[in-house]
Amino acid sequence: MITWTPAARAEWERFVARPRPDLATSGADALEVLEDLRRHVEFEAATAGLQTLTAEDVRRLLTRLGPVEPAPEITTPAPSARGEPSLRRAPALWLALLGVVLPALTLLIELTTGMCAATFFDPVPTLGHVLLAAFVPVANGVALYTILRRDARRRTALSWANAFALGVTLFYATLFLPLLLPGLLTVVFFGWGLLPLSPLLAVVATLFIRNHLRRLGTGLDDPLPGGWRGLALAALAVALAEAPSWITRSALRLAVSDVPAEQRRGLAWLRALGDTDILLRECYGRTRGAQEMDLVAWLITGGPRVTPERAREVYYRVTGTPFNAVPAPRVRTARGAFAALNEWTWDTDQGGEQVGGRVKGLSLHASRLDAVVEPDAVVAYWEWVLEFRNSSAQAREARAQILLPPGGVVSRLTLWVNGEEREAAFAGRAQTRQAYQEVAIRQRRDPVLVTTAGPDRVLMQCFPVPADGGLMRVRLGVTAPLPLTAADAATLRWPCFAERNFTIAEDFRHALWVESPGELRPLGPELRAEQPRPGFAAARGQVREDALANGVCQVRLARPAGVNRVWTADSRSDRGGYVTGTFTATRPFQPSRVVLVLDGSRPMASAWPDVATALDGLPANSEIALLFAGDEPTVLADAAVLDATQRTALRSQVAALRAAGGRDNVPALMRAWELVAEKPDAAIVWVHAAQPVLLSSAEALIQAYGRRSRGPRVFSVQTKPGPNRVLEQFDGIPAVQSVTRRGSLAEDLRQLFQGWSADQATLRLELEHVNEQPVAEPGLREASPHLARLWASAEARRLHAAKKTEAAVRLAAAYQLVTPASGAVVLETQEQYDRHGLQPADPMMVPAIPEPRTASLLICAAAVWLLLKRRRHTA
Amino acid sequence: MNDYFDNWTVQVRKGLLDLCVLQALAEREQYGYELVKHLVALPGMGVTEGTLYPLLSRLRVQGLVRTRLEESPEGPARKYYALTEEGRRALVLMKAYLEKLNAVATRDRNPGGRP
Repeated sequence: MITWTPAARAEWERFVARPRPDLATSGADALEVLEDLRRHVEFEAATAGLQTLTAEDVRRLLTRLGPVEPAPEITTPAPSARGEPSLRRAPALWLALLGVVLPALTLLIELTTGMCAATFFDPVPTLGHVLLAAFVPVANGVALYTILRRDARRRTALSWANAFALGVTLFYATLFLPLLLPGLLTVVFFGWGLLPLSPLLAVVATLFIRNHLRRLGTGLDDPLPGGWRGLALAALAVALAEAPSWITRSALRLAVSDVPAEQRRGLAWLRALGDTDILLRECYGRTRGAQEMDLVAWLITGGPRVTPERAREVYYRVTGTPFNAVPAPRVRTARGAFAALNEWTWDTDQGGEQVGGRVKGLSLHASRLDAVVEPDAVVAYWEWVLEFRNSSAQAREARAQILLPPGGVVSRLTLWVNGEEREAAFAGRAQTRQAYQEVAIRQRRDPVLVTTAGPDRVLMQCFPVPADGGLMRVRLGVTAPLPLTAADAATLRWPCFAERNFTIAEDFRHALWVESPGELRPLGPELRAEQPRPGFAAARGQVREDALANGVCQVRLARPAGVNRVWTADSRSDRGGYVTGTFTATRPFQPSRVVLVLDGSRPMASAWPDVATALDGLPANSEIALLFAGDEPTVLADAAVLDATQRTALRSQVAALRAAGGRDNVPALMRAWELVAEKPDAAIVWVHAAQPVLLSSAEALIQAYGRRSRGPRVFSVQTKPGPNRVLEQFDGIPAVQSVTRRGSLAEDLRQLFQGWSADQATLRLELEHVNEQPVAEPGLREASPHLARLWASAEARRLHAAKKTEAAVRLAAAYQLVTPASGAVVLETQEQYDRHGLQPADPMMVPAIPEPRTASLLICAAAVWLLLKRRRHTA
Repeated sequence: MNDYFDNWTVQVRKGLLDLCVLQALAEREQYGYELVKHLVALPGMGVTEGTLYPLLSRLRVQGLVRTRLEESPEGPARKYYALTEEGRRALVLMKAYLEKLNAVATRDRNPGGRP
């Protein structure tokens, strides 16, 4: 510890008093400097071995220290003082305008209005693109600011950023190259159109900024680091942002190739690496002008784009989901940021025979399903009242494919026009469609059309559902036999949507009600049993759309055991007569060969365990073959009678199958036909998911069945409800039938296979037209006219299959039925009906709930006759 | 002519002083007395302690160096100086600039010797 004498302290104070003011203005901390100097003096004293510092010592040491001269502070001098090339205000302003303001403004306008995306192509389809485009004004802005401040410390980082921004602007300048000339012309002639020129102007500005960066700091023309590497990094970033698009579009082109190997490779790529959102955008298509302007699409795929139709097909093959079953991709459009594509897409399926994509603004507003059951005849009649609402700005067509209860037929169609009910005219299929298309599409008036769309399926379309919140109300009447699950029990299934182009809100409920003079029991918790009046049982409930579609709200009904024959008077036939139904125990169908065709589509993945389990139930003596409908059909097992070991092996093989995308089942069905054609009593069991897209022509199969309508039977077992474009092709072919789904897939398959056992007789209602009224006997009951409708429906299908179309149409029209040969159409005025040669159904003769029996009708008619006679008498 | 040259060297030395301090600290951390003695001993620099302490203080205020005090059993507490990241970057720029300047300033633009 050094001790300072008072004189030494005074000497020190005199010394430090002199430089203190200079130190204060030099940029140094004066107190710190003085403290450092004092410490230095003490160091010197300690080195010299001094314990006490005298004034003399201090003077001596301070002399050695030299004068305290603060070094001049290095500050940022005025540009002129530095002698460096300066960026003057005017050029800086231009660079800021072209390199910062214009790119930022362009990006902002494109993001908020989607001007380019809606008209030509989407320059910023992903967040990655947005970040890349946003980087340009940011990098240029920071560089300009730094240049103006002459701060050379971040020169290297700014050089990298500038090179990266240059790479991005070069990419966008190339992208906008096709719009360059139109942009220039609009600037010249109209004074606007700078936006398409923005990327090119940004390239120029970025290059100028780079030049100024080069001279930043040294004032010399110094090379900047990271130039090429920054550009390479930008190219990499652009490639990364564009990679999903490039891979998807390239693979898409392969997938639509005519070469099967390329097709398979394209599908494999798309399934593994494809971007489903990009694929979905391709499904919605673009205008021709927009396609021609998309230079990137040309560069990376080497040609014009794949058509939306082909893209839709590929989308299904890749995902196993039709493009219209998922929400439309959201894009920025001129009508608003991030609007759904279908908001501006024209409904191309209007008036056509496809349900098509979801239509914006169209929704199901109300749905009411009433059913009455006739336990004696095991027949039911449903009335489905549907109300559609359209909140969009233009009139829309509501379309739906409706799955009918097995064996069902549409027997009534009503439309409410200005609050009044209008009944449909039933006539030839082509005649009703033509009337609908003329009235709906050309005159834009109120018609409804119902035609068949495959076994147990109808297509309903109604137009126009008025715009701006308008409602349209229709009623569909369905008559169907109830499938017998035992000699004394049957099951009632509800009609449901297989496919639709309108929205059903998540909280929407269908109101269901069923009544029977016999016993009934709901099979699920959705419906509750009640007794509306003595002797009648009912079930009622409000169910969600998925519950209705999945068939979980089925109702079990008791069939009176003593009834073995039913009859009804046939008032529709020219020749009068009666229709009788006899419950007959029939010999089961026993196929000598069963070919199982398994759909390999993605939704089947969860079905393999059920299918594998059900294989045990196949008849022991039948030959079994197994076909897998993959990207191409594969025979997993040749037709042979299998022993227990072989069945176990087959089960393992099925359980190990891999499902992917949406597979074309038609080639596999054709292959199955070839395997069973030689056997007269063979069957194809086609286990499949919904078939929303017809991927190849079924003409060969249709021809095969056309030449042999009682050909090998096809049992279609669909795992989940949904459209079936393949089954639609077999409309009117009796050999093709849908298997009613009641429970799990394994259970339903087991029941189907068990029904083929020799010891299992099946009870069937055999319908027959007779001239004489059946003689009263025990077990005979009178039934409603629905019995006659079911007979007429079967007869019309038989006539249609036998190519007697005219007779089939006449019969269907007389009984007011929608069959493969006939349709139902409701028009607005009698004049429209007359012009199309149609006769609407008499409201007194349409089925209703409850259905009036013949006797009741006679009593009503007598009452009316008496009333009229009395009035006349009074007058 | 000698006066002129002397004045010029003073200017050069003043300009280079910051660089010398940063360069000395780039090698390792040093305490004030040691650092000053090292700089004073640099041949041709002709710098005194009285000039260096204000310079060190200014560099600290500008964020190019940082300091810490450490008690010493052999005498007064030692004040250690070290380069900050910014000081390191500034040193790189200074050296690059000096190199470039030297090359530009001493380059013979007419190697052939003809006027």
